[in-house]
Amino acid sequence: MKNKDNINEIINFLQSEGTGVITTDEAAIEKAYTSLHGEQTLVIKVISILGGIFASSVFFGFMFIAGLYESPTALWLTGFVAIGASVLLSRISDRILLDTICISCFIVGLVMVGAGLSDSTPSAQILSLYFVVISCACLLLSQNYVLSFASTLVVNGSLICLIQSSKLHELLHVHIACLALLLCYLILQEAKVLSSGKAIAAKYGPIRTGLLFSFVSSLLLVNTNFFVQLAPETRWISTALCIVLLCYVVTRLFNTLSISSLPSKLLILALVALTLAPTALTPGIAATLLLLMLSFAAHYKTGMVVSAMAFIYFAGLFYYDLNFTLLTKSIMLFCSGLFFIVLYLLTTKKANNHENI
Amino acid sequence: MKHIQREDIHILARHSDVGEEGIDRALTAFVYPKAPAWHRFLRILFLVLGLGFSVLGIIFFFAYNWADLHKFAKLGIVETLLLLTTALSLHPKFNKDARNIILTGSAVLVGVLFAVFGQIYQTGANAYDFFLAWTLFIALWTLIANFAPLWLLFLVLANTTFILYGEQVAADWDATLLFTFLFLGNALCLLLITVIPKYRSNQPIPIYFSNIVALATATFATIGIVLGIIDNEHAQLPVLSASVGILYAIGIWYALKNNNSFYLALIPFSIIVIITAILFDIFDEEYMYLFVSFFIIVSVTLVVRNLIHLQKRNNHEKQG
Repeated sequence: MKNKDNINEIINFLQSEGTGVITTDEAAIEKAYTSLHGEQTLVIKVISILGGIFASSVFFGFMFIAGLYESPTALWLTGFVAIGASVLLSRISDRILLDTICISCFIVGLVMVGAGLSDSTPSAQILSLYFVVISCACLLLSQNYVLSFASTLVVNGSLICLIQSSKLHELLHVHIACLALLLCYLILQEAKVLSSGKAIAAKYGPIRTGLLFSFVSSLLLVNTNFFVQLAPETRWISTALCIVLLCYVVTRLFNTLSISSLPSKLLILALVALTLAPTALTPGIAATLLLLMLSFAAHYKTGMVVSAMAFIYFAGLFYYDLNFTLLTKSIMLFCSGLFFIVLYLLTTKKANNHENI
Repeated sequence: MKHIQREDIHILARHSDVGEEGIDRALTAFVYPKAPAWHRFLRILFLVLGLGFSVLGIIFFFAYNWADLHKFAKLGIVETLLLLTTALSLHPKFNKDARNIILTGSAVLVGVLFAVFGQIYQTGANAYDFFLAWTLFIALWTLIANFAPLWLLFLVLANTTFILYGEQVAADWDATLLFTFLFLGNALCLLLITVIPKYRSNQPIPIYFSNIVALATATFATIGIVLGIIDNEHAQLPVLSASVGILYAIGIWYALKNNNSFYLALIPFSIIVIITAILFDIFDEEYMYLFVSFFIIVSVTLVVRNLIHLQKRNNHEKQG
């Protein structure tokens, strides 16, 4: 089979590099490939998710009309049953077919638990804490791409709700810092994560994508003051961390690009830090550039697309918020453009020099 | 040579005793980009940022001074830009794709020119006039260039013109009639797109283009029928339903013959939405919601199951 040959080719390559003899579980590999064939199409994934959302929204309509919300206890009990059913479903069957039912149960269950518990819990804080615990449990127990992805999103959402309900809004920076560090680790140390256990290795993809989307949404919250009110002066904390991480990624790049002289390395790092310093109040710019570099380094296409679109948005936001006249802004934009064109010409010249030598 | 992908390495990692170092070596060799790819990426990044910011700077500069410009200056600037881009698109130095992209830019500038004209002279014309003029003036370019994005722009403009005409001039049309026309028009385009490559095989039509037109056609059909059901305007509904039914049947037959999974997902999904609307209209009780949600789950599951079977059959035929 075509894909089995890929595995053999990788094993041959590794053994030729001297990693020793490798034993494989052939039956499990066969099974993984046959279930993979059915999962590959984007169309099928999209239809399952859309169908799930459509079905659960209609179900909510039923809930409200039938007056199910009158008994909170019944509500959250049914909710727990629904969540449990979705996790169970994800474990006993790995057919993508049941994805629609799985995701519908999960969404419906979460909303029911929320609606049922909101009266009996003394504060929104404790409710958010409940959600964090429930979604963490779902993340650990589920064995399904879409469910793990959704659980990751819910964990992050409930953490942000926890921050907001505790009125400790500045903790959002800590949250963003943790997400940035986690994403860096996950993407750069892919091999380490993959070799640390079958369960975690299976969930690598959905957790990475879930963290990506959570990271971008948290960044959106920083500038809009919508849910969490941050003092503008504190925004530079997130930007500073992203710049540091970006410098770290660039340092790792020096080996690949064979840049070895210390002055050039320092110059490049200083350039990165100085270019991004003026954007201190919009952490999104430095963060999305970090994401773009990480995604390209790991050949992670979804990450590249999402970070590119987010970068365009945050760059636009930055220029929009500036308190200068349109004339000054236009000159600033043009100067930024010239700066990057100069960088482009420099890198092209260096590449040509390398080729000529 | 087979293309080794990340999934292969992940599967190997899960089901063998390859250590961290081995996985790292495999990823570096087969998945992660090497120096030349990085060089290209950085150069493209800087070029895009540089050009993007510079162009924006120029646009903002003109936006700042726009109100103070004399009207001939305004028209002159846009016309000069238009002439420049059109001349560039004829220059033999660029390859065909680049020239087509520049021509698409010119087509957008035609619209800008008409917008500036309308703003200066406060023509007070209905918006549909503007779009109609724009559509007509780029029709010849679209026909000759035969470039998919330009055709897409043309179709978007044609549809917008028609929708605005229906809203502003022919106000006695009801919504269903408008959507019937839109559906039939786009369906005709779709038929032409599907049939023409069989006779002129030198110009293959990109899949994304026919998929977008199909998506638009199905959307108009679905919205038209659902509106007709909700508004209880049953006058036009039979005509629309009959033509939609015929076209969907042809679509499914064509998709099965050519293993086109996009159509096989789009048409059933549209039918599911329509049946949901019918169910809500006929039975207005609370238990209907529960029944409808089960119906959606079951029908989507069936569609997905059929798509997977089709794909398995595809793969078997390719390997066999």
